[in-house]
Amino acid sequence: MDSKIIQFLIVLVFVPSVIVGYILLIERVLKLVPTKSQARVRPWLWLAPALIFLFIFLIYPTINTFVLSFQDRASKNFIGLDNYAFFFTNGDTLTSLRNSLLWLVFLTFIAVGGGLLAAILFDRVRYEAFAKSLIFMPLAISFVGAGVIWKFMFEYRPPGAPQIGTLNAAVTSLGGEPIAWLQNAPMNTFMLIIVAAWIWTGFAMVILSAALKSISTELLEAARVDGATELQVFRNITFPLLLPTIAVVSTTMIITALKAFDIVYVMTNGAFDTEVVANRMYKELFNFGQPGRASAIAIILLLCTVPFMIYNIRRFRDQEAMR
Amino acid sequence: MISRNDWRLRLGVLAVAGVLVVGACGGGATQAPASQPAASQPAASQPAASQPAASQPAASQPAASEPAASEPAASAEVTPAPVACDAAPATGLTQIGGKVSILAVWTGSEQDSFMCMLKPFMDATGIQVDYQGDRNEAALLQTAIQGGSPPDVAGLPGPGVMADFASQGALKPLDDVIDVAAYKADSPPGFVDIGAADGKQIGIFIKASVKGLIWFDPNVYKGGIPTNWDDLQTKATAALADVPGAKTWCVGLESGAASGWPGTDWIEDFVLRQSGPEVYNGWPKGTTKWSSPEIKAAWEAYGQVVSPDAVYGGPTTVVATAFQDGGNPLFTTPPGCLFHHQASFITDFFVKQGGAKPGDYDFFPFPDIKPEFSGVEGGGDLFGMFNDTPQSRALMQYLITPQAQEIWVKRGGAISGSKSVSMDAYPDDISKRSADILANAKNFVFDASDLMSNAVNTKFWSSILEFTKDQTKLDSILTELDSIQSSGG
Repeated sequence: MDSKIIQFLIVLVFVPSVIVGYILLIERVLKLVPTKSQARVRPWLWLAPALIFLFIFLIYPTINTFVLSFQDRASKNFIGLDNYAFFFTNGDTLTSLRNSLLWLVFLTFIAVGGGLLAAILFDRVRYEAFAKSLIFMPLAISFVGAGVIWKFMFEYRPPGAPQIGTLNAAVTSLGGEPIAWLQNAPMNTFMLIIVAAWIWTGFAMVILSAALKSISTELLEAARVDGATELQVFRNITFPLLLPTIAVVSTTMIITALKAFDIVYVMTNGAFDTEVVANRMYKELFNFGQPGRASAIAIILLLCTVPFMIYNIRRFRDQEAMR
Repeated sequence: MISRNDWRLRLGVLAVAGVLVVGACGGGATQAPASQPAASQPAASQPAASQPAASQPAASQPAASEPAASEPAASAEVTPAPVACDAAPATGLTQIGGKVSILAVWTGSEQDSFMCMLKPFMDATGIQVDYQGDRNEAALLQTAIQGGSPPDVAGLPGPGVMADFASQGALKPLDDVIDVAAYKADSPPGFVDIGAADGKQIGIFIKASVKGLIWFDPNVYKGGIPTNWDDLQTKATAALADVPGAKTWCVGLESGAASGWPGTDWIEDFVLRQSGPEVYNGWPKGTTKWSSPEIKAAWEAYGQVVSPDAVYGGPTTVVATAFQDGGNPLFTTPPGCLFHHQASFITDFFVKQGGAKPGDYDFFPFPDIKPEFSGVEGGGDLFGMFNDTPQSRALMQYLITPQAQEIWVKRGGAISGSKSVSMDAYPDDISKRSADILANAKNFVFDASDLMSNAVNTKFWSSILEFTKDQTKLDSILTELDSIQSSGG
């Protein structure tokens, strides 16, 4: 208990005083610098702590991962591209790559499409807030929690035995045979994607809904006065105006899909052909003790996300330029 | 120039920034505990996968899969704890005095049992025992050895790690410490050899466990103990005539991230009884190839067990059923199956999850397939000596005596490898009969999957799932296992 109080005091007093001290210090140092260059030097000095942290916790690990990806198991000798060759020749890792692509396409499509649909449909209903909260709520559940919940939903018992899984209870009560949702490939990968979509649709909906509200009503009304149908209004006015937001949400979803790990780990751990790249990376490092291969996978993942990030940044710059 | 007002403004901004920083940190700190259970749960359910050495506990002992296993708080350091135990004073020990430090995995009631085991030793020799028990013992031990200050005596995570420590010179050979010949004579064949590396005796067993028991409901199956594997099939067919709709076996393979491990025990039991201890012991070492006819035959035999007409619910149910629930259809009305193959811990789940009452379940040992390869597969807790002191020598000598071993046996939860421990010492029927199986075993082999590297073992688990779902893939599965094993896993 005492140590907690001391810790708290350190955070409360020590950290701010270090920051204040640093700023007072650099302001004093700046006085020694000619007034002319002060303006040029000051931002760098103010930014320096953030940049140092960024370097230690982001840039250095990235560089080190890159180096490790060319090294052997003991992380001592360089072995060229062997770790990358392994990734692209091994059956298990190729399955994980294929599944990650499925995740990328379908999670993005379902979450963004579903979010867009919900945002537009709920826009004009009376219970908008309530309906939107319902869809948004799963976002508050951790992935591990969601995995456990859905594992119960997908539970399989042999035909004839009482079904304790929600889905199979529904299927059998309608006279069907129980389905092994999580064990039958390739259906199981889509079942996992649905769990992720269940979480992320609410996120897409909230962002898209906010963008939708910002479209001026005059524009829509003018179109309606001119005799456009609701569908035409959507296709020619609403959708084009939402497009930048859709692009941002889609990029976020794509990166989320590539990072997908928790749900797979909890629900199948990659068994029955549901492996994804991130889970494979975890296995290589923590189960198989192959830091080189794990690093290679990490670098491949990073390279996959770079184009989307660049696209996002470009888009952002274009928007800034338009203002 | 900066005016006074400017300064005030700036300080105000700084103050706000400071508060924000504190807020951010504070928020982080309060959030951390909330997110911790989520983060630690998957890890805890799979210590096997993340700790190469301790791959056995998670898989075979449900207790270890509880979150407690990963909590560093499960550590306890005690000086001779006053444990209530009725151990008789030890004989044949001389007063030495001094101290001996012990590191082992046992905490709680297991720790009490071990301390009770040590009490006569401490009383008779005057040696003070400094015991530290920690669920995360494997990692602690590794660190202590690297730091050059290992405990005098410690529990070893498994034979593979033991051999590593021995080759590093950390573990001291026991050949001139204990009477190895007498120890061997008092134990089942092959048992003591598991503690040997490079021709030297390195480890001794504190207690053992027996795997590969076949469970049944005596109200349903009344055919008696089968004499061999074929007899089991005959008896099962006869029994099934009275139980319409039931199948011979119940199998459950699902176990979170470690799914598939119950199947490894199946394959191991078949390998041992079909092809003998030599093939079996060469298998984790890589001298018996996965694609060899012997190992393949074991997979095929397992394949028959999980074929649609032999197993409850068919292969899909097998892979989708949690191992804890695997045996439950034994006790349903009407019963879903006759037999369930699992180590003795499963009775806990029979009672708590399967709705069975004591008396509803019974077991017989895995039947022989070839009479010359009769044997038993099991596990056990190995101990090794890291510092050669008179005190640790005396302790090692004491620990393998039947008197010492009997103390834990009497308290329950342990089976002794010593044949001299009286069967009457076992407190319940199941442990008594398990001990009988161990004592009369013609061969004792250690759980092979626990001797394999983590990569091979993990692949073994997932291969079990893959094969159970689609038996036509066997050849490619075995080739792949070979390639992982030969690449050093």
